[in-house]
Amino acid sequence: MSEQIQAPDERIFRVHVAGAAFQIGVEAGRWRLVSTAWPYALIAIGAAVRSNGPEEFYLRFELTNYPADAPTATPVEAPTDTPWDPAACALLPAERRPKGQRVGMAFRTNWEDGRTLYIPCDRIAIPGHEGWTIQGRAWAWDPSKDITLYLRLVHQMLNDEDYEGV
Amino acid sequence: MEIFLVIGRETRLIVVDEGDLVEVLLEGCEPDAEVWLEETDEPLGRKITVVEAGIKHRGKVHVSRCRHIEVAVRYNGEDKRRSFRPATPIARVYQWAAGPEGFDLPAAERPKHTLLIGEVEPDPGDHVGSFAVDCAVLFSLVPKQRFEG
Repeated sequence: MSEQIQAPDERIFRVHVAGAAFQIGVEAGRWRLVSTAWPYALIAIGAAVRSNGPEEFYLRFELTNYPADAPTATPVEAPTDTPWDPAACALLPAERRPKGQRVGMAFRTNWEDGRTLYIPCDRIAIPGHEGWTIQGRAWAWDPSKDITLYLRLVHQMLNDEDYEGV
Repeated sequence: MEIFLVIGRETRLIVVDEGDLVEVLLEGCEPDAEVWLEETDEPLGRKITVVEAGIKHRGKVHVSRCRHIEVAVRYNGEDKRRSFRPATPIARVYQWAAGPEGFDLPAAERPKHTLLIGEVEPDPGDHVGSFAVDCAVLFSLVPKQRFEG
């Protein structure tokens, strides 16, 4: 029987997901890994309770060359297929995206057609937004970081008081 | 059973037996280090089992040699000080710093600010003792960063 050899980026990602920083978030209900189909991973992130909001939002991460390169994530609909097919994921429409000052800007649909989060640790959002890291480096990506940096920021936004549901 | 063991800024996920003594969690730590449950006033006894100590499967405990953390928070050039137990969540420290005993931010401003230490924005669930050096720590109270433009 042949054993599939994982590329270094996938191997490191799996080590990070099994590690304490990720697992402590799972235990607290902050996020959970739903599925992986390398170089994609589907992660659900918990949101504050709002009468018009879901319990979780789903991000489809593209993780090529992780963690040397930052992750990039697309907000998608809840998965319905088994096994998960990353190519079949439907983009989360504007009316079902989280609203609120900070989180609304992160999930904006009028930039990159809404396929990427507008935050400083997203690979697609970093170029052209160097000013973000001049203001502060708390959320800036570098290869010493792991996926929980991205998840912590999105979770924080989805649990801010200004998050209004969808 | 698995336990999240917080030592400084590092969190480890370790496996112990239910009958293991609390002192097992201190292997390799400084001799005067103690194990703390969140929001408790006294460290756990070393000679009781982890289950007797109330540690749950995948529960979080903090290891620190500090019985108190002297916390200073700086805002607009002014410092406020107060001590906390090492396993106090950052959310509680923030509540104090932004509240009436701290800088008394207007209610509308409290959700818009955060604590910062160096280039790190601690999570609400992080323990204050994780950021202390010699049992003391200085945070800045700053507006949350907005990503626009």
